[in-house]
Amino acid sequence: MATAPATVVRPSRPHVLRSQDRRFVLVLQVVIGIVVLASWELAIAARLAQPLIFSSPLRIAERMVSMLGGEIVYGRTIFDHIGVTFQQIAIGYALGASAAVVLGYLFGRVRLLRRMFEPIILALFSIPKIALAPLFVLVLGIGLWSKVGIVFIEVFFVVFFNTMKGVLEVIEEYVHIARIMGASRWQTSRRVIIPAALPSILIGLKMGVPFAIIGAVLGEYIASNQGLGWFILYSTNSFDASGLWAGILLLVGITWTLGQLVNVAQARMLRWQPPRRGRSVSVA
Amino acid sequence: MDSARKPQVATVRGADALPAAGRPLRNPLAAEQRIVLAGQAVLIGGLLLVWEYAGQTGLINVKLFSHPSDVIGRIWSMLAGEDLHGHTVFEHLFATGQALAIGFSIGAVLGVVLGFVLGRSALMARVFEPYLLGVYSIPKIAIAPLFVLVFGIGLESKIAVVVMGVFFMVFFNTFAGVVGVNEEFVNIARIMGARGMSVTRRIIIPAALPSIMLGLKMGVPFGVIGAIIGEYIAATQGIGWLIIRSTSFFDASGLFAALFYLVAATWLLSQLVSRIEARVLRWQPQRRQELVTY
Amino acid sequence: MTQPVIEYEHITKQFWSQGSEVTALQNVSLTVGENEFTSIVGPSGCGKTTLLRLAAGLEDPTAGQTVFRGVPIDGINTRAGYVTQDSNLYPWMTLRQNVEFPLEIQGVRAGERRDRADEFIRMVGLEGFENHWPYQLSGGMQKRGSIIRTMVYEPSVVLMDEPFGPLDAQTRMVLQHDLLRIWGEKRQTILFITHDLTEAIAMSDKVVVMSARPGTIKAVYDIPISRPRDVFQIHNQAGFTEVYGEIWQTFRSEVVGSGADTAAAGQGGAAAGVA
Repeated sequence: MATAPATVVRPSRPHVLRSQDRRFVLVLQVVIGIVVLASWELAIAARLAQPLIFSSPLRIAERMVSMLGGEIVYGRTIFDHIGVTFQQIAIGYALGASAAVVLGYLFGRVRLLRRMFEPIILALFSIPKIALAPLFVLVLGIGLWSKVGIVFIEVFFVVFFNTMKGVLEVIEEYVHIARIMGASRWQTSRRVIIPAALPSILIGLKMGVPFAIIGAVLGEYIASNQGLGWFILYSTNSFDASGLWAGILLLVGITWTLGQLVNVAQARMLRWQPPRRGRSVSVA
Repeated sequence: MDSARKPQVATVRGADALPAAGRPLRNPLAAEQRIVLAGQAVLIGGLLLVWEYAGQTGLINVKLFSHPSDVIGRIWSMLAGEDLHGHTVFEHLFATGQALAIGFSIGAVLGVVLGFVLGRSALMARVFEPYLLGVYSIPKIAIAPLFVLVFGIGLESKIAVVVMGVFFMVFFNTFAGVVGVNEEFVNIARIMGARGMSVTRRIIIPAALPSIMLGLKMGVPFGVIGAIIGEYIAATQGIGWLIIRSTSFFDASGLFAALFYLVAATWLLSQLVSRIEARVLRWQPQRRQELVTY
Repeated sequence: MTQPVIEYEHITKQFWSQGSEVTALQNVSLTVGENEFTSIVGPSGCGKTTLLRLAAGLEDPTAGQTVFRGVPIDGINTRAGYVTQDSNLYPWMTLRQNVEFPLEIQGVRAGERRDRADEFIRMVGLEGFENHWPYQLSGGMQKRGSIIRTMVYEPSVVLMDEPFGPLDAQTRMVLQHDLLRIWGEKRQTILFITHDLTEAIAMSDKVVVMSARPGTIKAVYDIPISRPRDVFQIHNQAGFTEVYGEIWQTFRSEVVGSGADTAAAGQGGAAAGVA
């Protein structure tokens, strides 16, 4: 005869939190944050680690304030440097995204084109883009255009594939209905196919933003004498840890801001979509 | 009341119903395939020819652009052990591979362990979620200099960047895999009397394994990228370092040849990973796992 | 028989599916008359949708030709209207924008567009929903929107592909009623596909019965039931039972033979019991 287990077996529950748990979580998070920052600051103050290599929260904050106040860093203000990087990103993104949307649309509508050249594009995509970056520098030189080139290919692939997918997934009956009503090919493109594909296209455009930023910074690492990425690398080589951290934080801040801008634009353009249930990305 | 109308044309069945203007129907896709191949050949062949021609006649600066015959020659000579700034191409590949292997091991272990711990504890997961996502949102290229500052130039900083790249991929997928384990499996085991570690070993890990494998598999290219980024910034050898070096020496054919070896090595590596995955997941029905990439 | 609008002349349609040839239609000839409401019924896969698509110009026949008002169809036929099985309202347009869409395509002025669209929106009881997104409308409402989107530009011929298929029985009857009301006013030529024999008889002047694949025309029946018809009580209207019984005999062997449509078989049993 089987004996009952000595302890009560409690069923495993999936990840569900009650509201008091939520408050507890928040408190824990804040505590952890404070503890980490405080121990960092203290460790540096007690000379447990080198300030030049690690810096400390207060030093970083101080540096940020002075940089944003217009401090001249290696010949320019940080705003000049950011401006240079931003210019590269903007031009590269504009060119890359336009080319990608146009080609993605064509490949989505013309089967022959797709069958012929998509495998080639896929093959090119499989080469890590960072490996191709030096090639751009070799061919286009140290200035603006090599960075634009790198940003271009970083942006191109993600926008291209998402655009093509969006166009391919357009319900063909949408197109039939319009054509039978008498719509010309151009009218059908503009009023039916593009709006139908827009959600996917916007996803591609959104994903392209962080890639573009990475591309610009990468280009500046390889060969540049100005820009936010250059600043980060120069700080590294000069053992300027505070500057390095400040640069990284600025980079993250800019990435986040641009991302939010894209989100807002996306929400406005897609008001017609049924609201999605729950969180779209969730770790817990 | 007879309201039936005779059909307007007598329905015909059988052989004499074949269409008058009949032509045999061919599979349209098969016919198209020939045009597709032709188009691809024309594009690739054409580009190569133009490139070679431009290089031979000096239309382009071969130091910047190189041309196919030069590149192939270089690939060949590298294969034979040409000295590239102090090492053969294989020694460079080995240096990169070393950083990759060590970094991958560390990153994978950390990723699996943390993914597991956070997967089983809802509280821990909730608490650390913003921190993890926050660190993940910093691009690798921005974090790499931090490691260089701390570890200096050389293998250690490369390994650190690889760890960063691999860790998140493995972590997120392990986490998703562990969270996704059907709680019924666990409950059944516990009711049968299984305890703690036994449940973990026999139930949870196998159930989460496909996701873990997926995370490991996807971690490899991210690890490769990490290694190369590390080599761009601070290294003295490695295939990525070789690429940068060729750039500053205006050695275009060397750059292309190095690229070739990088792509070839990466491809071989991914083939290896696929084989391993297939063996580990023998029991798995051909289900497509959802890739967690955020 | 009124003036022929659509003439199918010895149509055979074959296509390639998963590595082998399929014959959808085999030497089909049929004439659809002006201002008539014609239904085509048949088992699944018999090619009735293909016939519709041929008239719309979405398909070309393998042999034979489709003639529209005396001119063979070559490419998309913009002189006919087409209502698909799914509502297919454009999700990025409001109800009103959807209904105005064909008028916009055809260059109608904004003011007139709105008036005409609103007239049809009122006709099917959708006032108040003009600025709703399609996802905010129920299935039946979307279906009505889809139908008036085609009706609004008043094509003289409307092709309808099982438009009420995905709806529940009550909504279906309401929409059948709405459609007949619109048709009563505008008297277009309607070619209507359905697998539901009752629906076909209730709505139409003529019912075409098709065989199972490869599709051929088995028979064409006149429906002598007087108009206006009460779709909610169609079984009680004079003449329905006889016509139903007769057509069912022809229909049944195709349906039961192809092993499909237990609903139709159920109806056949009920009608036979009454007769």
